Amino acid sequence: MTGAQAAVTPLDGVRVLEVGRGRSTPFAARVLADLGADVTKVESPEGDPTRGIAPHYVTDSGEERGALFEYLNWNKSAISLDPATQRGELDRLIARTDVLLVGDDLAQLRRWRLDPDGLLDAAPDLVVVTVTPYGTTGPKAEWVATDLTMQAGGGVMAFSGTSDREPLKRGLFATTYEVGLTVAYVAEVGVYAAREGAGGTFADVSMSECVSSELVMTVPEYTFAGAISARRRATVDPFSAGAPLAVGDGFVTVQTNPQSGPAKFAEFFGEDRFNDPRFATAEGRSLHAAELEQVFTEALAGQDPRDFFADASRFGLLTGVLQSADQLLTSTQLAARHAFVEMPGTLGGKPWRMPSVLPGLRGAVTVRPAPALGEDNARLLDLQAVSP
Amino acid sequence: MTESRPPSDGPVAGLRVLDLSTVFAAPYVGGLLRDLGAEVLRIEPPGKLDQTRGGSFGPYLDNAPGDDGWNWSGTFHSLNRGKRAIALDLKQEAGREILWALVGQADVLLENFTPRVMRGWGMSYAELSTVNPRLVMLSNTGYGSNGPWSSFKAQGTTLEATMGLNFYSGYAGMRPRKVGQSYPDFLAAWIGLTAILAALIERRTTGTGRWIDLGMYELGGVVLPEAFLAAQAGIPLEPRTGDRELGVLVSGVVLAKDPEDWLAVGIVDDAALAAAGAVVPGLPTRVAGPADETAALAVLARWAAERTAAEAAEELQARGIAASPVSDVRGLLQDPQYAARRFFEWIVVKDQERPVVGRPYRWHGRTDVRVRGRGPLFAEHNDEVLNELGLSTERVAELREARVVVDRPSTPPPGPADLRAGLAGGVFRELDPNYREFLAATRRAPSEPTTEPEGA
Repeated sequence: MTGAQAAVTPLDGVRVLEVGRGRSTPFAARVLADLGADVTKVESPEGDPTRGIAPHYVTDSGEERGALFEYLNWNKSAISLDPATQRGELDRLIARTDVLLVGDDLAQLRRWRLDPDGLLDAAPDLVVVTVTPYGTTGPKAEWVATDLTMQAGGGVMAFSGTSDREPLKRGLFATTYEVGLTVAYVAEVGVYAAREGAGGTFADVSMSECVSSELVMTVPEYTFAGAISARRRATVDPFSAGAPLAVGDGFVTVQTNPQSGPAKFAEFFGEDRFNDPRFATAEGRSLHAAELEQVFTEALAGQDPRDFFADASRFGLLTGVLQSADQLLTSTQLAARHAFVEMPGTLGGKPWRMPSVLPGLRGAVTVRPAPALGEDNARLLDLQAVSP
Repeated sequence: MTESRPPSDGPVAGLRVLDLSTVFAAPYVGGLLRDLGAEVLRIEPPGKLDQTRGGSFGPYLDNAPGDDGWNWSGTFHSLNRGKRAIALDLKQEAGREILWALVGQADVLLENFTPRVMRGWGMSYAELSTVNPRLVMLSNTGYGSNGPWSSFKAQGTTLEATMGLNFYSGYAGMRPRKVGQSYPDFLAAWIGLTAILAALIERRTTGTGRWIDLGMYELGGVVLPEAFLAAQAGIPLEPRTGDRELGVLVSGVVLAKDPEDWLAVGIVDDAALAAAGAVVPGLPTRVAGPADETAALAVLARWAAERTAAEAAEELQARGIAASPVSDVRGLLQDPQYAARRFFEWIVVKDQERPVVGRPYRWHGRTDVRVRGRGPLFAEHNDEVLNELGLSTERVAELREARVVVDRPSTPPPGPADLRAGLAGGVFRELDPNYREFLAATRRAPSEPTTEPEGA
């Protein structure tokens, strides 16, 4: 396929073998593929379970395929092997790769009898990255997880949601995909080191620790000052908590910083009540959050949230506007950034698009459709027969 | 780039990184590159202090800022571990001359100004790469370098709504909620690292660097594919479902025996439901819809109320069911798994050891990855760095005279945080008077991966 412009491929020549099931590992491998890596996905004969997840799109030849699978696996080749009888084939593929990614759970390592240390003994420059809920060592190595329990154990939920209710998770599977971004860069570090002559690496990624890595403020609040972050009250200081404020038919967010404090909002709205000394500090605002929210509610009354966002941003305020996927699909800013990839075939009877990773690096590109199960068996297994 | 590499032992040892960035995302990129062995130099302005050096983003060591509080913020030391720092006024020509000299020797430049700033200084990537074509530059901005919103200021807290993340988080039927701390910053940090490493790998063969024009706004959709698929397939998607997970039979959070001791459970399918039924008496054998799920969660809540969340999670996990306590900071610091894997690493600040967030992977190879010490004090390495550049003592004195180089911020020292107001205002749940004893006990606890018992 030809793109709207030539794809930028910094990882040209990097070979990646993905033995992945689920969301994190396949997404990591796809990010590497987008950057130019030659990615081969290895599946057992029943296939990655995400192949079956609805909705399905219709290919140009009229075939139905999983749309989420397409998003997670475009730009890859695919081989299917029976782990019980074709383990030797996998070893030959591993001997020809730079990076081996395995996940999203410990069962996947067992299914394919993959021992990272043994693999490194055989191939000293290999980069092996495993992706499991808690890592492959330690007392919880055998623990399983879902997106919810991973967020719970990772520490982001204890202070998310409201104080009168249970801790709240982040929506959909954002956190699970976020893990894939860490996996991608860790694999690249391994490749870089191997090419610098530092040898191979086994990197053992813990999905739970990926979540905890976000806590660079919440942890030191305790370890430096003894303060435990709370789930906030239902009404919070809109200037420091990032809480969406209801405006018209939507929501906006606002934030102050040392260069742009409440006084700048007072100037923008022509509303002197923002200058109330009670609102000058974060502590004061947390004590008088309801009063501050009331001032906002009155100042924003009758406004269109998107107009407020654009006007206030042009004025130099820190502000945001709540948007759904539908709204992002029609965002002129995202269009200017070429932030969507045109997908193959149709979804819901119409052409469809999905978010691109790193549009500012890659430019506007189209993608090679995700492979069918075992699509490249003949080509890639023959190849290794010719040059063992 | 330079033939004589400084002694270091990480996988990217020898790389030189210049860090002009502030707050979370790009500084964290620099801190993690430092863990990997890069030499990272922060360049900070004389007056406009990084927000993580103090104030509401920066908890001071024991909340005692003294007369140089900007040096003792835990957030700053977490993000900027192991770096060096100089304070340089880039608004003056003489300051930018020093930056040009540093760029000539650098491999990576990190910045998060709004796009007009570097352009205004004549320091766009196109211009910088004329003196150093091998330079890899990350520009982490709110919206990217082009488009109608490119000049808008942005921070993670406000972007989280704009980029689609908030819309899909919140209690069922309720308003959207922010979850976590400043989520967009972390997405930007991980993808920024991915882009930088890709460019460095490419540079080994091409000899030339790249500009990475990263707009945080465009990162939201990347982690929300289910929302984009539903929107385009015309499938209804409940935007906010609390702790209920898509595609999981029974999922939710219930209170265990003690206050604030919560248990998260995800029963993924019928087999897991049957396995859970063997542990939790009265659990329905079939869950066919939301009413059944609610009933199952009520049974789980009654069962959990008689044990701690840790005990409940152990029992469920023994049957292969996803479950975990909802950990807060103390829970993480005590977690036997985190201890066994040494997730937290310790830095020394004012002769005191404190833990900081490490990295989410264990690294086994010939190279070593670790936190390499605390962050830099403000202007700590002024003389060292300027001497390395070959500037004479006289020239450095002139630069100080002209306040191109400063040794103390021009802003007044911050006062201590009013933690009690934070408690009264609901920002904090608790102020632990014994946190130093707690940390000391954590530090002493055995953490050998092979011998760690449960429930340390």
